[in-house]
Order: sequence, then structure tokens, then C-alpha cells
Amino acid sequence: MGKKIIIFLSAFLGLVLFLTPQPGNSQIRIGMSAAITGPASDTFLPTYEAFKCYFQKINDEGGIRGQKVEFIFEDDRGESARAMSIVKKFIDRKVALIINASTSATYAAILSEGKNAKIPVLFAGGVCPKEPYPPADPYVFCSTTFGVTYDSEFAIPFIKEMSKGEKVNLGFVATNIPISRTGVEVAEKLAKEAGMNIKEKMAIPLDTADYTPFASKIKEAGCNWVFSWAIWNTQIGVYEALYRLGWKGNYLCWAHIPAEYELNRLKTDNLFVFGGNALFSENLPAHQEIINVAKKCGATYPVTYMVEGWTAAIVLHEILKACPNPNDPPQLLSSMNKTSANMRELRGGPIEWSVSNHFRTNTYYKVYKWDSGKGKIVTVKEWSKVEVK
Amino acid sequence: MQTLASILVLTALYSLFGIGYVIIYRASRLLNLAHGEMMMLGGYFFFTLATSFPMLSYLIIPITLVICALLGILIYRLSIKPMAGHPIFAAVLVTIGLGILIRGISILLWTSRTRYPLTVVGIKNEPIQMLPGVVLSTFDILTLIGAGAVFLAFFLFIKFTKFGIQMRAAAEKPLLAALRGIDYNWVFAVSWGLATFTGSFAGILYASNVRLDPTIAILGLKAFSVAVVGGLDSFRGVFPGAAMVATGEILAIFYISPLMSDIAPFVLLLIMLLIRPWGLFGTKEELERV
Amino acid sequence: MSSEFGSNHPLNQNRKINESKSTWIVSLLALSVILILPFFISGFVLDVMNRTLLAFIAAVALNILIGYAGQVSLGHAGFLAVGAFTTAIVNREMGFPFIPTLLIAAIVGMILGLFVGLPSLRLKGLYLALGTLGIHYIIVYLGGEYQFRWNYNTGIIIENPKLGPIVLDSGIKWFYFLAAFSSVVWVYCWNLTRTRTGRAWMALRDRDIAAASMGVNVAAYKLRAFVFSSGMTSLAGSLGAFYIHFVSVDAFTFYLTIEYIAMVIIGGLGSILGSFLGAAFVTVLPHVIDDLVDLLGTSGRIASHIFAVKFSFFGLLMVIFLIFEPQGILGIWNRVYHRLKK
Repeated sequence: MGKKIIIFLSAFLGLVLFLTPQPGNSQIRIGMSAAITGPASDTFLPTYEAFKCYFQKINDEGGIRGQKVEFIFEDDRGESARAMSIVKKFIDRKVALIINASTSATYAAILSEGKNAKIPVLFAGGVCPKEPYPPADPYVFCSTTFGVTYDSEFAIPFIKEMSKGEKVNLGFVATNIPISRTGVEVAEKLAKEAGMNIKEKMAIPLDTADYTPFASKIKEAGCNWVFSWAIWNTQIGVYEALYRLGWKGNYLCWAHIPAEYELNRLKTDNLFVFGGNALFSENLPAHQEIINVAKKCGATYPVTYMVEGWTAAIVLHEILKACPNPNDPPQLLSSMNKTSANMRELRGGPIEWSVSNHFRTNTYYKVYKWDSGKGKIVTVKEWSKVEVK
Repeated sequence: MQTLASILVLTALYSLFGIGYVIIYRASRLLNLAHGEMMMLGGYFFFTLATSFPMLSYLIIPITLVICALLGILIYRLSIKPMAGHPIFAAVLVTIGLGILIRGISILLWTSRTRYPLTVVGIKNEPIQMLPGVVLSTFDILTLIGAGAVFLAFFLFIKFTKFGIQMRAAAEKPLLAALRGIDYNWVFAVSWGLATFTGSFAGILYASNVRLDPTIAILGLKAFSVAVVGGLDSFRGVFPGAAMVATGEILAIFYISPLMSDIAPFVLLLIMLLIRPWGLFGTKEELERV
Repeated sequence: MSSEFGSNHPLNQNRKINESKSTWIVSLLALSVILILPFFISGFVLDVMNRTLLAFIAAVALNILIGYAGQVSLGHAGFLAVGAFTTAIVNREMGFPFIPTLLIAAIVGMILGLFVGLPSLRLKGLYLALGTLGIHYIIVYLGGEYQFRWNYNTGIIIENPKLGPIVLDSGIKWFYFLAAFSSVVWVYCWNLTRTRTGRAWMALRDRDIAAASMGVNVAAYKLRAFVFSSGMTSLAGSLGAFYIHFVSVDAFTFYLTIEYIAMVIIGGLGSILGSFLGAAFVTVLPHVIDDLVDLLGTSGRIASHIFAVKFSFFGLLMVIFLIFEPQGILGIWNRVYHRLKK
């Protein structure tokens, strides 16, 4: 019996030693918690790959001021409990900054643990929580393009503009998750103020088998425009169902990362996507750079999925370049508060942060759709600015 | 009218799902909780074959079905047959474990990206005006025809072929069937093959009509209600069960709230379990035997 | 030489006394090591240990229901959710302190357990499993509705709990609290399985018709099993909500239920120690694999694939244990130990 206990105890201590995280060697250590597997991975894996590829290139070219950037990637599967463990690991490893590219379920864990340890947190893939918006929380930053209120502030006037004076019978589509429903409610309010007819509003469950009944409801309500601010599966599921029903209205939805790929796949003229990143159809030099790097580093997703993550990586790169000593949190924070990152035309304008605004001072939107006449994706509306107050 | 058409198509899809559960329940007396994953595999095999042999077009579907059927037999041999003496719940847990395993392997092989098999094959899924006010897509129609064909074929098979009769015998009284020289292990193996056959057909149809990614396996759970409502051991009950669940779901979307559609199948399931656990057409005594 | 005569022989008595003395010393040493450990280990490892203890409580609840009473339940995540959401409402909204919240969570769980247990009187096995699964989805739906209507978009944040004058705000404090709490749970459950209730449950599990004929009130004990299990699970969910400071419906998936079922199977059905081993195994394994993979070095493609492998490894383990070792780790341990003894 005594032997059993000794065996058990030694095994236990051995396990403890094995699991203890070791701080790395590099001067610049960044921790990234992403939903690499799990139901949300389709949305966040490309962002993880973008970061991985971007910084692999930076390190191959010598790093920043001769220091390689050590990235610690962890998979939180979109779960809050896992995210909490991961942040504790990061704290033990003494990272300078924590990046989150995961579902909103992970936010609370990352926010509370990061703030307790006084490590800045950057949200780079999922929707921004309220902390980075003015008045900003000192430790929380966000580079993600979409924002609950500002997106609708752009979208509703856009719909009005596109309708060219005709009456708009608007339908709203959200996913049955709180953030999406809130986003749609904001849009609804703005639409009412703009004098549009709200014909239908729905929140659709996450694991819907068949979007047809939802689409029929929209069609029968007589909507000529539909605005969707939801997860991509919902947005495209309803759109395709509407298409299969022969609906001829216009559909405007957020350009999540699969958007360009889908526009190219569907080749339909009535699907409008609006977003904050320039699509590959514009063929900018920065896009060519992504293509080259992605090929070399073995990304599994098509390059069109990587723009959001790439732009976030650019922001991080600029931050690290601007700060002489990232491992000193007060220095890093004060440097981040002065960020003005050149986005290489991938976004409508530079990302500028200040002490009170960790989202950006201005946010820019662009609208694309497929044009079957031209056989490619065209820009429907050039960069439009929305001020963030 | 459109609502009715939508209900019909959803019923057809759910029936294809549901019959797989019934077949396996009759054979092995357990719930195959990995059915959703097998359905998903059907979609993935279709996708892979389509990517490698796009010229074969519609022919890929029967090929995929055959492969999946064989896979079903393999799964039976490797993981269900060894559980023969163990409690039923343990076998059900094995299927749960299998489900996780299959899903993990799918992610390994095909990543979590959403796939669209039809794009690869080059088939377009266009809306077709059927009657005034009713529009269905190509694959909606295929679902209806496919489900109908499968059911008809199955009905004839079970009722009139020798093997079909053997299946019925083995399902009712395995021991007696064995005494009469029926190799019930082989019968069960084929049952699993048939279940994967129908399930993967549903998977192919769904993957073509909607999308293909690792999360669609969750539909298998919704399709449970179909089997329970109709009667876990009743073939006759599959269609009425599917009809009830599909109707419930769609009516909930229209008249209560779209959110309710998520739990409508489960509410129906619970109601059925409380008032009539053996379903519409199931055998009452099944309840005690479990 | 003295072993030839068997352990009850007078010549062997001294050895036995010495053995039991040394067992005591070793146990005390081990205990003290474990008790001072929290001050020396990293925050991450401490977190893993705390989670194991939390998981143990819920696992034991499930094991009592499935392993001892033989009732099938696929709704475990739902009951954890009940505990978590009760905590959100009672502690966060209404401001109740820590211990009363735990108690309320347990009571709510028990009441719900009663409702879930009632159908169990009519249903068995698979039907019962399906019913519990249906209940899981309905609870999750209600939780989601609550979150939306009360505007908790990204989840509900729970404050650190106060235990008298002490605030549980660090891993170390949580560890001591959880260690004490789980020990109480362990002893209580261990005792319960040895009393009349426990024996009645086991009779129920093995042959309920025979049990009935022996005068066991099948219905009452079935209900008791559900009520007890759900109450404790809800309590575990509440503790979890306090520990993670966060409640959101997304955490309570069917996969979570499967994780607990895996704990109970891998650890060993019908055993308290098994519940602990299973909880430890399932909680710790993913991290061990993580570190093993890091050791081997990761490169590009393989890294993303490894993440998928970790996920499916779980399913594989479950299947293997079920087919080859239904008694779980405990079974393996017993076999190995007995073989070593010889």
C-alpha cells in the first residue's frame, strides 16, 4: 500500500514537472489563442495561418531589430474553459501580448486573466468586445474590421443609396447568438429612422439543417432587400435558399473571410458583401505578397481567407517595430496607444489608436459584388469612412 | 403552397436519415449515435470522388453509396460485433466514441473548410418553377425522388426478397432465426451497410443542396426524433415520423418563432416519450426489452 | 520465507503492523507534499489541478447515476448549465453570497432532477437516454434566451466568491477550497454507496425486477438517484461558474456530456476512485499531448493536423476502453497491480 502511494506521488510530481510551461528564449514573445479546431475553426483557422505565415517571413528575414518573434499558438476550440487555461500558460511563459482569434465565449476568460496579469490583449479575428471602443480599457485592443454599431451605420445608408428612391422593403437575418441579434437590432433602428419598411426580422439557430423555410418566409413577406449581419453560414445559407426559391431581391451581408471565395463560386449578381478589407480581386501589391508567402509556408486555406488575419499581423508588426522594449508592459502599452499602422491599402485607411480609442479613429468600408457581365468581382462602392466616437 | 413543398422536401430528407436509425435498431437493438457522422462521411466521399473524377458527374453518387455501405459493414465488424455480450448502453457509447473519431479523422483529411461538391463536379443547383407559387431546386427534387426510390426499393427488398425476409426474421427473434440457418451476423452486417447507404445518400443530398463541413453531423441528432416518433423498430413509421418532425419544425418557424425550430424536434421527442414511448408504429413490448 | 504461510499466520503479524505503520507515514508525507505544492508550481499547472477537482465532483455525480444506479443519462451538460445559470441569476443578478448560491444551485438541480427522474419510471435504457438528451437541448435553448433577453452578449461575468473573510481570487486559495470540498464529497459518496441507498441502487442496476421482489421500492430509489445526481451536478456547475468567473451557453455542448461519460468509463463505472482517475485523465490528457507534440517539434502542416488528431484521439480511447476494458483505468490498475504482487 505504501509502495502504491509512493509510485502515485512520483508519477504525479513527474507529471507536474512535465506540464510546467517554460519561458522561452526570445526577447519578443507573443501568445495567440485561436479556435484552430472546433465548430468555429472555419472562421479563425485562416487568421491563425495568416499570423503564422506573416511572422515566419519576418523571422526568416531576421526578425525585428535582430530579434526573432516567438509565437506561442494555442488551440482553445472556441471554449471559455480552455481559453482560461491557455492564458494562464501564457502568463507563466511571460508573453508580452496576448492575441485572441476565437469565439466570443473565450473573451471573458482572456479579458479577466490578461488584465489581472497586466498584459495587453489584442482581439484579431472575432468581433470586438466593448472594451476597445472609446472610452477604451487600457489593456484591450481590437483590429477586427467589423463592429456592431458602425457596420450598420454604413450599411443602412448604402442600401438607401442603392435603392435609388424606390421603397425599400427590408428583411433582417441574424444568427441566434446574442451579438448577431444585437447587431441586427441596431440596424433595424437605423432603418426605421431612414424610413424603410421592415417586413421581416429573424434569428436563425446555429445548426440549421435547411434554410428554405426561413427563406420562404422572407420571400413571402415581400422583401426586396435583405440585410444580414450574422455568422457566414447563416448569411450564405439564407442567401442560397432565397436563390433556390427564385427570389430576385438584393442581399447585403458582412464580408466574412469566406466572402470572396463564395462570390467566385456562386457567380450571382444580387449578392452584395460589405467589409473592411480589400479583396484579392483588386490585385494590390500587398495581395501578391500574401500569395507568395502563403505558398511558401504551406497554408491550407485559399489566400482569399487570409486578409483579415494578415492585416491584424501587420498591425502587430507595426506595434513591435515601434516599441524598443516590448517586454516592458508600460512601454508596450504607451507605444500601442500611439499606434498609426500603415495597412498597405488592404484597409481603407491607417489603423490609429489613442489612449481612449483602441478600436480605431476611423473605420472604412467597401462593397463588392459579382458582375456576370464582366465575369469578375467588382467594387460597388469605394472606401467610405465612418468616424468612431 | 410553398410551405407544403418545403415540408415535403424536409420530410424526404429526414426520412432518409431516419430509416438508418430504424435499420440499425432492428438489427443490433441500439442507437447509432454516429449516424450523423456517417451521413457526413457520405458527403465527404462524394466530394473527394468528385474532385478526382469530375467527368463521371452523377455517376459518382452510386459509387459513393457503395463505398459507404462497405464502410458500414466494416464498422459493424470492428466495433459493434465485439460488443455483443456487453450492455446496450455500452454499445451506444461505442457509437458515440466512433462519432468523435470519425469527425476528427474528417477534419484531419479534409480540414474544417466548408466544401461544395457540386461546384467541383460542375452541376448547378438551379431553382425550378414547379407550380404557380412553388419553386424547388434541382436537388430538392432529387431529394424527393431519391427518398421515394430508396423507400420503394427497400419496401420491395424487405417484403419479397429472401434476404429481406431473413432480415425481418433475425430482427424479431435472432435465436430462432439462427436455428433456421440464418447467419444473423451477416444479416446484421448488411443491415449496418444498408443504414450507411441510406445515411450517406442523405449526406450527399444535403452536401449538394446546402453545404458540407464537419458540423453538419449534428443533424443526425435532430433526426433522432424522427425515429422515435415513428417508432424505433418500425419501417412504416419512418415516413409519418419524418412528416411530423418536419411539419413541426417548419410550422414553428412560421407561426411561433424561427428559434423554436431548433428545439421543435426535441420537444416532439419528449412529448412522444412521455405519452407513447414506442412511437406511432413501434411495437409496444419493445419498451420492456430495452 | 514468511510469505509461505499466508498473511494471517502469526509469523506475519509483525510484518503487517510494520507495513501499516509505514503506510501511515508515507500517506502523511504524500499529503503534506500535495498540500504545500500549490505555492511552488506554476499557475497553469495549478489551474489544471483545480479543474480536475471540479470535474471530479461532476464525474462522481454522473458515476452514481450511471455506474451505481444504472440509469442512463445523456443530459449531463444540461445540469451543469442549470448550476451555472442559477449562479448567474442568483449571485450576479440578485446578489446572493457564495454559499447560499451553491445551495440554491443544488436545490434547483434536485428539483429538475425530480422532473427528469419521473419519466425514468416509465422509460428505460435508450428511451431514457433520448429523453435526457432532449432535456439537455431545451435547457441550453432556455439559457440562450436568458442571455439574449438580459443582454449578456458575450456571456455573464461572475465575481470572485467570498468565503467569510477570504476572497477566492487566486489559484492557491481555490485549490485548498476545492481540495477540502472534494474530500467531503468523496467521503460522503463513498459512505452513501455503502448504505442502504447505495445497495438499493446497485440492486436496481443489476436486476431491478429482482430488487422489486425483495422489497426495494424501485420508483423511489430511481428518483432518489436522479435527484441526488442532478443536485450534485448542478452544484458542480455552480462551482465551475465561480471558478471560471464566466457563464455562457456555448460552453454546454453535447460534447461536454460526452467528456464526462468518457471520464466515467475510462475511470471505471461504479467507483469513486474511478471517477477521480477518469476526471484527472480526461482533464490532463489534452495538455500532456500538447506538450508531447511541442517536444517533437511542430512544423507547418503537421501543427494544424495535430490539433485535429488530439480531438479524435479521445473518441478512439473511448471506443478502445469500452471494447477491451469496461472497468476503465481502475480495471487496468487492478490487473497490473495483482500481477506485480505475485
